[in-house]
Amino acid sequence: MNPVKIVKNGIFDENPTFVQVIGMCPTLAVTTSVENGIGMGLATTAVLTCSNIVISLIRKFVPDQVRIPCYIVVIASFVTMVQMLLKAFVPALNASLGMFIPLIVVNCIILARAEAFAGKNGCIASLFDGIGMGLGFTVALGLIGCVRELLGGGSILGLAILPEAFPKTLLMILPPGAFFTLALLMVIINCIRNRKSN
Amino acid sequence: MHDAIKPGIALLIIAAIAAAILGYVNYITAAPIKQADLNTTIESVKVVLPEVNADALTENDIVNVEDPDSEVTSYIAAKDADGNIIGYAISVETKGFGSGLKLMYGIDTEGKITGLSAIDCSNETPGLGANVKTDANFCKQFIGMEGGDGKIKVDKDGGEIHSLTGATITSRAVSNAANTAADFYFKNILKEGGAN
Amino acid sequence: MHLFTILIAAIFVNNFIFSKFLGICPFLGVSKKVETAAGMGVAVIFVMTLASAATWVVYNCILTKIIITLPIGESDLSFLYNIAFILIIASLVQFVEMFIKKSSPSLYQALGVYLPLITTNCAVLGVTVLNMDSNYGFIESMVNGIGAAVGFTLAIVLFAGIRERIARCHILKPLQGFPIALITAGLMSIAFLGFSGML
Repeated sequence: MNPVKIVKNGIFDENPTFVQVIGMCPTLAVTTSVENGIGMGLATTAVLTCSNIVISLIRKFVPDQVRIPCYIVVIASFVTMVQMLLKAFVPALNASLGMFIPLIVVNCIILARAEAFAGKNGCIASLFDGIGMGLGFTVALGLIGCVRELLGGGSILGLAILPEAFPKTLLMILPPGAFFTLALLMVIINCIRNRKSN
Repeated sequence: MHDAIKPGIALLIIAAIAAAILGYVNYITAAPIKQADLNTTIESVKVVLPEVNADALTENDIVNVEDPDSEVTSYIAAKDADGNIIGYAISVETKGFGSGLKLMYGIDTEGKITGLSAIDCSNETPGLGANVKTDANFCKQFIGMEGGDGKIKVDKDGGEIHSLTGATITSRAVSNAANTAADFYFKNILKEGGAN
Repeated sequence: MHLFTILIAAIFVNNFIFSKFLGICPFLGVSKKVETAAGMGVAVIFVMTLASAATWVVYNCILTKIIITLPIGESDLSFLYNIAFILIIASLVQFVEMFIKKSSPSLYQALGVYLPLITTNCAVLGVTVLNMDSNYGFIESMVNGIGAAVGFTLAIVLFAGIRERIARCHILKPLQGFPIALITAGLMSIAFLGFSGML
């Protein structure tokens, strides 16, 4: 398969957040700011890409009965590695993402790609699939983070965008705002899709 | 039964390889993680005790308080160039709006507060209570005050501290923690004739 | 009193769905009918309580107790917590499934389909990590596990009740499916905000 096509598939056609609607917990929890959203997206991308590569390499040696436990061990190892590296070199991000770093293990996106793609395809294709899906997830989280930070805090990436007088809707940063923002973005995407198919 | 052996061995091998690799990564990141933790502490000490050369602090300067009943987790005795103690940086972990609100207070040798820094306020409400980290005017109010025995209070409770907008609970927790830190200074550090 | 505080905080104040965002996938996926939602909830209470207990024992009696000496230095095994916890949960789910199948076929009929789904429910791994981070003791971990699971069940059953009614309403086309469910969840989340700061 064409690498560009695989990556594009992950970002647009099969976007994990907006189209497949999986991996919802981090999507809603860490998107209080753009920075957190993108940080979480990139951490997930790193785990997803690495685990995809390793799983596509070991898929022929792993007996079918213990396939899932083996995948989980591989994924959990990469998650632990990412957590250690973040703690050591980006401690601020680690602190703000908190317990959602170890929880990348149970992000359905990763196990779903291991089962649906890496377990059936070669190493190179799996690499691009990991990058594509990971970026699709990162874009989605960044977008949600943008909306919430802009409406809730009047800024993007810490830079004040809206004028001081503009009322800040604190609710957008609080938990309910996560649900509303995702719903809003999904409605917009549904509208665009409907128009296209017509 | 024989069928179960091969998959079992495969899983065991994968788990063993994973554990070995992780052990190695753990080993190489252990030192940077310690350094990163120390840097966070140093940055806070710079805020709460501006007169101290915080960059010279090492891990050995941090005294951990192993008392499960006390909210004080650790303290640092800060010295000037001649080795005289000029103040203490006391870390307190308390309950604000959420759990795990970590604050650091600087207290000079007379028991007056020299500064306040929020180390971890990720469980406070973003935009309200979490502003304790960024709102310099709020933190400034504590400078020069003498805490202990519940002396520091927010305006709502008849005290002098103006609360953060919409975050009385966090402001109250920060005030109470200031008293906790001061109490710790008077009752534990001063009594022992100043540790170190 | 302390345990009671943990329990109430876990059920209402820090509700796993509405304030911590743990377990959203089953929350959105298995909430079309009150009956199935309740089944899922009971299964989660069961597994989460056991998982809290099992991971506490493994973490505090094995991982932090074994000191390995390698040529590259000494360390305990606590860095393996993530792998250990997820494997414990996966095998626990598997074990519970086998046990229920043999001992109570009627209960298995009710819960069976939900059990495999629980392995990848981040609420279960979440509560074990939370227990570890908070340095809870054995009893506190169990209570926190029960509380979080009850909170999850409460949320999913209430949500399913509302969704059952929504399904009979006329909804604008772009809002159908997930968007309207998310808006409902958002409104419920506002209601649960009322509990925050209570304790």
